[in-house]
Amino acid sequence: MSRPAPVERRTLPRDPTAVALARRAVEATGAGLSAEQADVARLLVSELVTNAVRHGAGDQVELVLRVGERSARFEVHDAGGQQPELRPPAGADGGYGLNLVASLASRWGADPDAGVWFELDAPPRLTPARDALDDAFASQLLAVLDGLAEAVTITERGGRTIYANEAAVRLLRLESAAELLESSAGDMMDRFDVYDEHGARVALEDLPGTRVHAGERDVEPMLVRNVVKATGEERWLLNKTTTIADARGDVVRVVNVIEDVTEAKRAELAQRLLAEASDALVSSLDYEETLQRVATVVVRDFADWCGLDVPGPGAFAQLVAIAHSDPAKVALAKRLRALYPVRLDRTQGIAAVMQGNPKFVRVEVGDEELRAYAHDDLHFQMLRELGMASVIVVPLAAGGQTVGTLIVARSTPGHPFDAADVELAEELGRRAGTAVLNARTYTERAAIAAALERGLSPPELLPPAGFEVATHYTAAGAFNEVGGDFYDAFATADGWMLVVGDVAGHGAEAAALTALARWTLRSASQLTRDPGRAVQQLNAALRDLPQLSLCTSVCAHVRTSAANGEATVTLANSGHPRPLLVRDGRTEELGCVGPMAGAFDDGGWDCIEVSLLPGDALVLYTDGVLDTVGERDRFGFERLRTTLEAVASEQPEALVARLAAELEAFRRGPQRDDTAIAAVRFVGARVDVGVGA
Amino acid sequence: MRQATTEDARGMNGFDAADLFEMMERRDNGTAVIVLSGELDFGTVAQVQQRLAELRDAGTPVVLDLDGLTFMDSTGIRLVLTACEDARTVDWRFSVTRGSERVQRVLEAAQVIDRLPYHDPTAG
Repeated sequence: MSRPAPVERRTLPRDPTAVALARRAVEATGAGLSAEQADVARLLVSELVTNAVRHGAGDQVELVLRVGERSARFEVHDAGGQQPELRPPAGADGGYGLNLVASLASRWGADPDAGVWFELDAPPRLTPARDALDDAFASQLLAVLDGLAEAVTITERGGRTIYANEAAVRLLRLESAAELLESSAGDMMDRFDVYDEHGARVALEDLPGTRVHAGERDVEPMLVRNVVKATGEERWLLNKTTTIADARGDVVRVVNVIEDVTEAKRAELAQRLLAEASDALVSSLDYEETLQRVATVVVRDFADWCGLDVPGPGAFAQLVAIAHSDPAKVALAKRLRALYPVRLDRTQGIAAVMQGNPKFVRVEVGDEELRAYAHDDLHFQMLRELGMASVIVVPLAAGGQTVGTLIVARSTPGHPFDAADVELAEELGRRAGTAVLNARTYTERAAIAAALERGLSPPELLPPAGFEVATHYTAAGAFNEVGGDFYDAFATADGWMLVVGDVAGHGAEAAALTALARWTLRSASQLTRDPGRAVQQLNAALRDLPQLSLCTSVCAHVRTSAANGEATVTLANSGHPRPLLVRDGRTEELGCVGPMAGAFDDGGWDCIEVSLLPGDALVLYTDGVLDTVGERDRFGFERLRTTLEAVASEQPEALVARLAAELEAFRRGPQRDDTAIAAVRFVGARVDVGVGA
Repeated sequence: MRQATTEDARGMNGFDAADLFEMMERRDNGTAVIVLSGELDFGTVAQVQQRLAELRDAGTPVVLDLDGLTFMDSTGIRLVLTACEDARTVDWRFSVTRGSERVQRVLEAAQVIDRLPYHDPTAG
């Protein structure tokens, strides 16, 4: 069994006075023994020292006290290296001393280098008596405490501090321990603002040390946010206590161990902030909404206010998100930016970062600097009211480019950002930047799609007299891709042309092809007034393209006869679903189907001519209608027919709307293909009106 | 860290045995009552041994009062047992009081508590 290090070593004269001196030494150290054990220790040390004095050799007796984890060990050495013999006590001089040692000690023994020794098992509750604090043992103990990185204070009943180590003096921002020893606990507490983890104020009575003195037991360690009032400095401190009890078990002193966990706590907060910001960033593809959520997260834990800008029109920054811990000041911020827009050619702040500077950091902004930055006094006052005591601006960076800026600020002095905060802001900027770039790409694509659709779809179909027209168009997936379906309606020299088509493919290429098909059909129809020849022209144009490009279409040339008021429709079909004639509540597929345009060099598209009676409706549609996928099968022709027949007598508007609604109700999952529907109804109007004639 | 030095113990080296221990004597119907108080150990026992020897030699009955002792070790046991042996040998009347609580604990631990001639106060 290895011996614990000595905590006390006393050299005594080898004479009868040594016995009492040794007892005093034992009493002074205490060694964490109960009162009863202290009596035993005193008795047994007396015995061993008595033996050394009576039977030993040399001038001195040495007493060594070692306090281990679970026992205290007492050794008595003298020059004689005595090897005592335990024998049954007999008569007046019968070795009672050693028998007492043997019966009362937990262990005992003797050997040349350890002297004669005994051990008493006891939890080593160190109980240096108040007047023993000057003692050597206490001095050593305090020297150990002083070297600790953790702050340690010892308080006695009533809360008065009787000891503070060097770390505690530093942590409490004191000049010396004396300052603490001379202050009351309340006075000391007044130097700080203390909050718990949830932000609730913590009073002196709530602190673990105070609660232990008040009689509570098993007080949990307490994590607090401690703000030094004088400087505004913020720390996270973990307060733990251990107690020093007297012989009866009453707490006489509390040892407070205060650990500065600011770094760990802030790392944890930063991680949480980044995680929350990341959640916000993927929550929506509307990037302004997304950035607003990020700003809200940032002001909850990190900054008093936060703004995100992107380059706006006219070389000004455009504030796209703003949050303030004081919600009333959001309006102020917006007013400020409206009155004093940030010109992107300025050399400071948001403008500097927007221009490509890696960051703009002013951890402490004085009024002077703020005034220099402000355009005028009102600007200065508004900036000041918003709060600009400590400011970080970092780029919203993505793929090596700056797509915007993030500004975070603390309103009041004394709580400046530090290097770790700047790093956190930069990381937020990177994450937000990526999200902005993604959202912008998406938004731009959606905008292109919308523009193309606008360009490809006639704003409205103006029907000729005697006709009613309605159309419906849905691209596959909202904002997804430009579909290949198109429709058109335009006047010809002797009538009116309605076109519904579908080019193969999707996306930008399909959009280009759609434009080609549409304008080819339009110009060819206007020139030839013959749908068949128009399709032929389209075929030639598509065959001229370097890659195989296919287009199906139905071209319907509608004319009214001035003579008899009848209407005729001439149809050419290039591989497209046949149009339907809706007459007297029944449907009929019209015409024959020629090859797709673009498939072969040679091809003819015969036209059929159909007379329209008043009340007849012609419905043109694309295969997206038939291919709409439902729970078990496609929408298919029969459903189309049934739907149309059910609303056969309705106006085209109602007819198209009904069909679109049926499709929407039938569809399961996302729409896979574009759908285009055009319905034209001959109402048998005045016979003398031609369109565009 | 400061090492313990003999200087630290100086305050205690200046102690006087008289501070620790006191012996008083009174007469009670011809019996000498020796009243011990404080701490009885190897450093303080000598004067008691000497006085007991004198009274034994004079044939004066002795009651050794241990009730006021705050500390006693086996030196005290040795003192008492030696007196008992002397009493048997030379027909000398010697008895002890029960002793303070601490004294009783030591006597008990040494298993001599039942073997001592205790003074009976009612017997005069």
